[in-house]
Amino acid sequence: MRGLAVTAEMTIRDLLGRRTVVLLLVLVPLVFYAARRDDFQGQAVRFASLGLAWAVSTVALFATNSVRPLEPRLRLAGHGSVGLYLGRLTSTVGLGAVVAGLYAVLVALDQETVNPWSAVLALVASGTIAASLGLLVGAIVPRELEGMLVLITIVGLQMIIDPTKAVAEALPLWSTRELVGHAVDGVGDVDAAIAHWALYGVGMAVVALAITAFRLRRRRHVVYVDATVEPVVAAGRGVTRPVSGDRG
Amino acid sequence: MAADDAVSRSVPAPASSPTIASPQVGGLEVRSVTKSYGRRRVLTDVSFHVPAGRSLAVVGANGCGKSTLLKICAGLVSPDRGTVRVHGRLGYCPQEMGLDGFLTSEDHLAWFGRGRGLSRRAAVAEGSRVAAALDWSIPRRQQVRHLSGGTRQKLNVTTTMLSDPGVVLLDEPYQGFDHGSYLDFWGLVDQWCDEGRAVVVVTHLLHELNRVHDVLDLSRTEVD
Repeated sequence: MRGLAVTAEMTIRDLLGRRTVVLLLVLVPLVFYAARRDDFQGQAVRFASLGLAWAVSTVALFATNSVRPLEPRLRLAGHGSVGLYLGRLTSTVGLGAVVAGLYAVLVALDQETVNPWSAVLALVASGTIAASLGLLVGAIVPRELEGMLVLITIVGLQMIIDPTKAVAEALPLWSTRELVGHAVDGVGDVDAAIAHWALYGVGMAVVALAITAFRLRRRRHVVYVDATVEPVVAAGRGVTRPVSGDRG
Repeated sequence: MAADDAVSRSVPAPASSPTIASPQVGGLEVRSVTKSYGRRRVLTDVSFHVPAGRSLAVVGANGCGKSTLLKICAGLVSPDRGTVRVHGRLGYCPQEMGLDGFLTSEDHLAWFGRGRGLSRRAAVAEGSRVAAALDWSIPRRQQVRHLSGGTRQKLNVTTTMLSDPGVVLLDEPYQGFDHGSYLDFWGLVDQWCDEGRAVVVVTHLLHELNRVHDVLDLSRTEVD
């Protein structure tokens, strides 16, 4: 798929070029984790997952917005909108998974959980779903400030809303909360959480891709015709070019 | 001013030819384009034709729709009515920077060049030739946000040409250029025309209109 690999590479290069962002991407979940480390068992895992979701979704949002002016020109240069979107998705999901992996190691070493593998799954789900969420919000909301406020609302709502309410399950990060519950308290439906993770991850990616493809679509008023039907006019620089004011 | 006077004006030759092996032959036909934003009509029934090997300057007062017209030609904005027929590939250089500040110039060249199937090395080599014609040596590691405005604009022009467009759309592309680069730019426009491309330049510098074949004044909406 044209443009996927190079777009993924450039997304990573862009993020690595923002050294402070990389530092914060790793540190934000740590701050959340450390703030609740001395609370009752497992609370630190919940907050690490929350911090991870906030950090990764924000990075994905900015990854979308920073290339927004560039993408129409990349389309004209021959890239496909599917490749451009999937390249960004691949790199941000990969980045989220890597940071989640770091915290999975930290949790494994520092926390005693009932189901350690559920804790790992919860963190990976958090990092990957957040990337997909950030890209979707970036596709829908073109401005960073508004996008940021939407992300704060969605991620924060997932943590404060009563998990027994049906609306909690409709939110995109429900799977991570369910998996953390299984990891820490031994309650929670792992199969349902994984299904929710897959459904929302793929669903949000498809919607974001559709929005991106629509935004970068070839407009119908532009018709590409074969250049060979148009004879080349010799420019005759300096001979045939009149000064505009002298043209009749 | 006579045509030959325009010829006699000294235009420095590009430092290095950006000639591409088999450049695209281009052409652009705009028919009856009309565009409104809300109740404000910005373009009314605009038609013109830029054949291969010719250049057109689009001029007019602020807000008369010059940039909108170019975006419509590039397919980035839909008109209310009208069509655009394009011979060859389109290259579009926007007025505002269409670049990523945290990537290097070489990264941009690699990204744009990949759209044409070029490797990073080939894209950088080809971009360097265009850049040299604008008296610019591409820095290897410097992020674009650290470049001057004029240098960023040179990168904008360079990336536009990497796709080997048959139709080159440039929206005031010389902003921030020093005088030498500015003259080099108009020399490049001549060269692109000689290669068979159709070139459209939005400009507000009316004293440079002798550097193009045709002028479209959107204040009057007719081709001189």
